[in-house]
Amino acid sequence: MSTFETTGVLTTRTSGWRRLVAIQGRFPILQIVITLGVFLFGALTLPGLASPSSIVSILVLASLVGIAAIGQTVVVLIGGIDMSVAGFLVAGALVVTQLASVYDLPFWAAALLLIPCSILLGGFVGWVCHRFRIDPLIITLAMSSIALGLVVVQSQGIVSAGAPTWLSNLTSPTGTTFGIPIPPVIIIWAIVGVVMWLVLSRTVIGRRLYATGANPRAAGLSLVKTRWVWIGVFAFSALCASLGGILLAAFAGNVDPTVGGPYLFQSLAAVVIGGTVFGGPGDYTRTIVGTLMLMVLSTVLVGHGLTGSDQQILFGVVILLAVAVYGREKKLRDRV
Amino acid sequence: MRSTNQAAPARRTLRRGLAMTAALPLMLAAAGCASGTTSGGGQPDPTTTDAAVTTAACGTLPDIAPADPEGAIASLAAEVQPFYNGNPYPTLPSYWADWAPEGPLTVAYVSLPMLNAWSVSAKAQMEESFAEAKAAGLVEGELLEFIMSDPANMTPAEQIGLYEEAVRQGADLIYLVPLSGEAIAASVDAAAEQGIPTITQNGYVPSDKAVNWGVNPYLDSGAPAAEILGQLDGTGNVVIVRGVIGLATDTYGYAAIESVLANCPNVTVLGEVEGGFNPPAAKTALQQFLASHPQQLDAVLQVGVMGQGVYQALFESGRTPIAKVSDTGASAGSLAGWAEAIERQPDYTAAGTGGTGRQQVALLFEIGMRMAAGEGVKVSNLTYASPLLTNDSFGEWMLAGADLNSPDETADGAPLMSEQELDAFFTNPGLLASR
Repeated sequence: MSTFETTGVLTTRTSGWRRLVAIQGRFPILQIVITLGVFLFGALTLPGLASPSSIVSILVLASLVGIAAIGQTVVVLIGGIDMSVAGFLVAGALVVTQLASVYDLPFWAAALLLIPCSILLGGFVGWVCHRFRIDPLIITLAMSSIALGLVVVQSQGIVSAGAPTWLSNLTSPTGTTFGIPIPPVIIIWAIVGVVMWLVLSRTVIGRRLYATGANPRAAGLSLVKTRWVWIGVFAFSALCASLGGILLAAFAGNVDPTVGGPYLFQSLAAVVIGGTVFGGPGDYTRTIVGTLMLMVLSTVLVGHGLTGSDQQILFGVVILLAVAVYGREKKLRDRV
Repeated sequence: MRSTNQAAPARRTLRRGLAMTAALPLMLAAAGCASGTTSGGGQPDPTTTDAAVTTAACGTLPDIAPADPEGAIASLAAEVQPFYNGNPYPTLPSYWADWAPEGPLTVAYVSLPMLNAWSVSAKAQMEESFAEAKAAGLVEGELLEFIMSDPANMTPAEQIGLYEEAVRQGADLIYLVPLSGEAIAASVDAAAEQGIPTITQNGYVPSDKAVNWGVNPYLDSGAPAAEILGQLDGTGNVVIVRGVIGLATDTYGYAAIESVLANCPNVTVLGEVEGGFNPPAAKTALQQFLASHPQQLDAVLQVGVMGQGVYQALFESGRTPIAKVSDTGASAGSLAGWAEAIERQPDYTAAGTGGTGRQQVALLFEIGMRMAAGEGVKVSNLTYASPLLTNDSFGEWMLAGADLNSPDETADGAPLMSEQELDAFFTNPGLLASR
């Protein structure tokens, strides 16, 4: 083979690699392949995994994590991290169960009460972090305790009510949506996914958010009010988590202050595994894929007899691998 | 050459990605090899390896010698000695056998955060018992309460600080719900040196100077498991739901289930999941398990307090027949699930154990008052067997109006222990009653 021919082959092969990498940069093909591979492995080794009821069960569990990860995704896109997800999740769940019972509030009134409260607390976090240039890690941890503490104090230490039975239908794998045998939580997650995709990729809000995450200074010079972006993003994250708490209450039936703990790690893991990088690039579609990968993997592992501790180790390894892949990629600010 | 150099970073990225793809199946394969399903034989129980084990038929709880290094249990009346079957916590002659303080006592209650219905009702009972004792002139002042505040961030160190504050504030007697018995043992010893006894609830403090009061975990998990395997005639598929692996409650509860299963060669353990002693976590883990195991499931044996989450997962899976649940540490929600299972499937049977925070703390307080009256507690570890719930008896524990989502405790059913049984733990019973 001549030098010319060798170079030609290399060039062709290289452009193939580059095309693959470019596609991976835009969409998490690798994660989809892994998810399908693990699912196939599970279907072959665990009879019944591919049955419709099992798939619905996995989707229900995934949708809870996915919904918990909505706010985390946008916070990560602007270069932050939100450790208050678990706190707001539990606070939301407690408000619609115990607080509604203590103050004799109708369910919807309690749910509506969540909206201004979480926006206010979340927005305050965004303002403090931006105004004083404090790492959100610290402030969101503090806010998690504050949000949860506020609700626990209001419920006066009384454990008095579980979720209404009708609410449980939202997250039951045997639940239906307008007669269709798909649990409402899956439909909600799908709608949220579409809305998030539209907002992030097709609106001015999305562009401002990416610009702020990529390079806040440049964004500021482009007349993007980055402080308002931070306030808005953290308020949105708190709102999503507290409303997600309603679904958590529906799933758990009754709520104690520790019930949200696993969702902090899982929501962050879903974002990272999906390939959303701190400060961008990334989007919620990736988080959906990351969530599905996480849930399929853990279900197959449980099926093969792994304990929670074993799963934690493997999740840690997967996150490390994901960071190894994406952490070396160019950040958005380096591309503009 | 140029194009090759430009492609290098891209190739590295993709290679890393492929490494990730390749690593996962390997991890899965390793996982499958390392943690395959176990069968009915079970593993040797590290807590009872040296103990004498009596072989029993499937569906009965084997007799296992308790931890009794100095033969203290023999000093108790015969009627309470069976409560110690398989008890893993050492029972010693009591350090406080001759304790007879003068005058009314200052009492402290050191406990965990208001985490659930148990802790709320336990605290309420402690306050009620204190008020009654104060009216009777047995205690004085106010009840000193040291309750940890944040369940998400509580630590043994925080509780040790609160315990030592109780000592500093002049407590003559401390009731303790320990977060970590091992961690607080030295403080309990130090308080004992000052003449202050500590009586624990729901957590063993490994100190010969403590007075530990609580259910025998071997009987609590083992008895309902044995009852259920008997209902299955020793044949079927079961899943074990563990709590937090590494915690003593899980270790001993799991060992009890394994002891029962050891006599059931025709029972297949399909697998184990970890529910963290938390019903929602147990529900999640069991749902994942059910999603990957289509086989008929005949029973779910759980180590404690997760029956509610187990029933939720079973109902939402839509599987029939509904698996029997060993409802150790039953709650209002789990009993509602049990009742719903009978409604859906009239021949459904299950088993469990009962006992509320109010019942447990009422006895806890009485033990302290009996000691203060000079009745002389005989041993360091006072235990009991929770009432066994079956289809015939669980109704009396059901809470009116409770449903599967109820966060409440059960109603107070049968007494945990009779006065005569409690008398058996003391050298001079009746002194408190005569005051």
